[in-house]
Amino acid sequence: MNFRTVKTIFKKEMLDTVRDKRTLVMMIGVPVLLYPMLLIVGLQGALVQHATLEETVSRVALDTEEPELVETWLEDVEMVELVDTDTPAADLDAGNLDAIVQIDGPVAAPLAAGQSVTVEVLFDSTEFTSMDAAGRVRSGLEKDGEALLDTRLADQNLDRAFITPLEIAREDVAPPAKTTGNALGTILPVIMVVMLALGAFYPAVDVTAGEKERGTFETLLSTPTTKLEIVTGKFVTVFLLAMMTGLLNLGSMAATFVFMANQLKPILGDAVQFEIQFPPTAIITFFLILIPLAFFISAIMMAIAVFARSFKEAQNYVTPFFVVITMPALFASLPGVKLSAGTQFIPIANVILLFRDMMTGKASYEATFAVFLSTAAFAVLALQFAAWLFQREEVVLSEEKGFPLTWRRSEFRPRPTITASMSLGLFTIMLIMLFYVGSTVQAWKLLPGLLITEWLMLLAPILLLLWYAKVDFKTALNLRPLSFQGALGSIVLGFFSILLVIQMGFWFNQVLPVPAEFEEEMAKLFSSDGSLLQLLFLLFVAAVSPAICEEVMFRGVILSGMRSRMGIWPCVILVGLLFGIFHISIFRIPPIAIFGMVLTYLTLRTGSIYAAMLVHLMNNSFAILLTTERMPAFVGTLLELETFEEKGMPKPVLAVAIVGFVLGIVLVEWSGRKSNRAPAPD
Amino acid sequence: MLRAESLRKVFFPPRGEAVEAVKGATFTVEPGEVFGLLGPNGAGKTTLLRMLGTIISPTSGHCWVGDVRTDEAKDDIRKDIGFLSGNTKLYGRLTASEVLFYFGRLYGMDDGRIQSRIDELAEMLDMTTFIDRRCEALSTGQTQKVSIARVILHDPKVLILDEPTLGLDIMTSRSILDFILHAKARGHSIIFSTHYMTEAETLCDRVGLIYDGELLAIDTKEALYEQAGATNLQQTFLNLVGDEVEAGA
Repeated sequence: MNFRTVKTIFKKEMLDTVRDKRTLVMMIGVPVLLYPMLLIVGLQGALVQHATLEETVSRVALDTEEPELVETWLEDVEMVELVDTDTPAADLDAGNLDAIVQIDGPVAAPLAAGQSVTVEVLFDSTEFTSMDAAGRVRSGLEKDGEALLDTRLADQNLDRAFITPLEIAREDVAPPAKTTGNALGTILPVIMVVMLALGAFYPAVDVTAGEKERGTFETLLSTPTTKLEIVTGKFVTVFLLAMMTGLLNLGSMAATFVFMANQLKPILGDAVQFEIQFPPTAIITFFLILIPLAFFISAIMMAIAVFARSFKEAQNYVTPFFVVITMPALFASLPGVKLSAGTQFIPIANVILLFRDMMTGKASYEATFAVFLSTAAFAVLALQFAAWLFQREEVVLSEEKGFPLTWRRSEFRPRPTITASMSLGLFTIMLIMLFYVGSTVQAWKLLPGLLITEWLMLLAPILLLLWYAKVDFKTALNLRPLSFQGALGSIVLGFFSILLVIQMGFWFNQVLPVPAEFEEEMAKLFSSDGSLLQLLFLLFVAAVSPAICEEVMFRGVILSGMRSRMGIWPCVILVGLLFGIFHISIFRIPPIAIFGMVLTYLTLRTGSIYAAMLVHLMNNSFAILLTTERMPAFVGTLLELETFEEKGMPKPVLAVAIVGFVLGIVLVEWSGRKSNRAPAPD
Repeated sequence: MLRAESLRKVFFPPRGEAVEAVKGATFTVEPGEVFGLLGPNGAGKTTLLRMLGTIISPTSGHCWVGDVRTDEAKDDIRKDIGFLSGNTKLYGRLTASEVLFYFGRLYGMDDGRIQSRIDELAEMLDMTTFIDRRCEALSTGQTQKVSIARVILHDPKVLILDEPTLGLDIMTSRSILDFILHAKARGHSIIFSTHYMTEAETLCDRVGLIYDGELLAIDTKEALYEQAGATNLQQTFLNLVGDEVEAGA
């Protein structure tokens, strides 16, 4: 990908957008002017109405056999005027009266006898004046009731404490920062999701369907730019504008909110305490997490909008998406929904839950990492999907009515490998599958779950995909025979890199210690009753299966896809990193990524996937034999396993491993000169 | 040089039957040659030219630009192609000069070279008065001149022009035809489609007649006249295509 081209496209799209009044109004006009105006106008209206109500005298009628007595109760209530009427019910209904005080039967006599009298206050809840009147009458009558109670108690020579044996007081000990943190942590991200979507909407439609509608897409396609450059340039525009609009909206809302709070303070008094405290770390994380979120939303909006032939049609396609993205947002704000192993992989919802945890100081690093990883994975997938759509001429140039996409195999041309973007897309899909399907079946039953994951979830779909896309299996999977020299070099290099990777795991453990539960999980995997049959089964599940299935995926399709776009060393690093990330846990990524790099290097240099399979098999078998204590005793002694946790490997062993590693590289390089290396397709 | 070999394109609409828009086209356009593509609406002209311009890929068959087979080449091959059709419009919110700068950069040219090319072309195509005006404010003729400038900006070996004079007044048509002759003199390989027979008569070295996706005849004008027993291109066209319509009916 040529970044100068991407920059050129980005700059042009920005200029084009800034000159479009429609987008400008949506982006800047709405947040900066419309929201505050609407809210302020609404607030002023409410304030005026509130003031008017305050000054309106309530007209109240009495409906009782002893009006004189009841009148004495109400005469000192402020803003209440007693009205004489023969048809109180009709008057209340017509709005000529605000409330009726109704008492059936005698009043004074039962009160004197120490009995209770029921007073009904009739009002009309659809009228503000009537609601106000009812409130005034009620609080007035309550005071009279208290006075009557005091008289009765005094007659009996009783204290007020007598009728309230338990005085119950409640106090909220959560500091205001925590309560506002909880409230804001729920509301703010939901608003943000909607704002980001709003911000991405116009640019996403404009750079895709808009460009089609204006007939300039074909002009762009006639230039020597790749589809990925076009998508990236356009995407960066949409992404930045979405972020900008989102932040502008949020800023404008915050300003309006503060303004409103100040206006309301004299009315609400001290009843409501606003204490808005943002921990600085929360602000930073919030921005950080906005990035993958905006990335995800922008990419998916673009992918949807590119199907449309016109601005209007795109709006029809994208609008349902607004509803779709607010669903996880609403789900996350349900009471009781927490960030857990399952919810941390639900896009959008996970961000909202994580943010709430952060505002209340409950977020863990592991969860933060998982949320970032899965959001980034979904984002990359959405972008890959958008890029893939841009490659389909029937989508980009379609002039016919209807949804322009066909999946007919007969239309595909045979190809030597999948493309680099396809391999990244495949990786992302598999990662998401692993989140959901893999972890579920392994939680159900570990070993059968692992088998299902490896063979059915990884291998089968990959082979099916290759067949369907008419990809040449031999080239795409690097299925070239392994020469004798190649095998020798692989075994030497493999063996010593396994030792070095173990040591690296030790060093990394010093920086970020692996939690104890985690190690228990790993140990559980290799638990054994000691029978040979069971050991063989374990070896098949945890050594042979990964060596075949994972290698087909990483050193097969993904590597050959990447190799069609980039050089040997970028391939080694990238495929190694992807292999590390695929093992999901932050604690295992660095050593596994380095091991993955070695495997990738081996495949590229020997030209054969079998080299990587061999070393992968060696590594996993070694780990299994070590943990099930099937290793000959001298191995343990030599590696000083007893003290490994404190000291790592003995220095002499380490020195030998380094020398052996270099020797292995020399052997592999030597074999690479003789045999066929994996050629770069195209 | 531009070469097409057994180019076929089959479209699969989301609903309905597959449509074979181009049924195997083979021909060569030499440097310094103008090749005219004539055919009624819907004959497959635009699809054929789009394949040659690498905008869409052929279902089978190949094309070459120079000695490079386009489906094996990277996207860079488009540096050697200038492609213009009714669907290659310009960005309305950008000025003519901004549009040319944008495409120049996409073609990998540096800003100094783009500027000197723009000055040169503005002079040649008489665009100096509107070069800094937004494209949405330009007349049809002015827009087409900017498009022509865009196509030739990077000095490609091959020019593919789909109805370049459609809907233009006589003056503008004239200057675009002059431009094609100028490019021919400079050794570009030019293929263009048109409905105007007189244009084809004055410009083309060779003519291809396309009907219903099939190239019926490819030859020099004179040879075609002889084949059809006609004295001009219009008659030739009607005779040859007419025969085909009768045969089909």
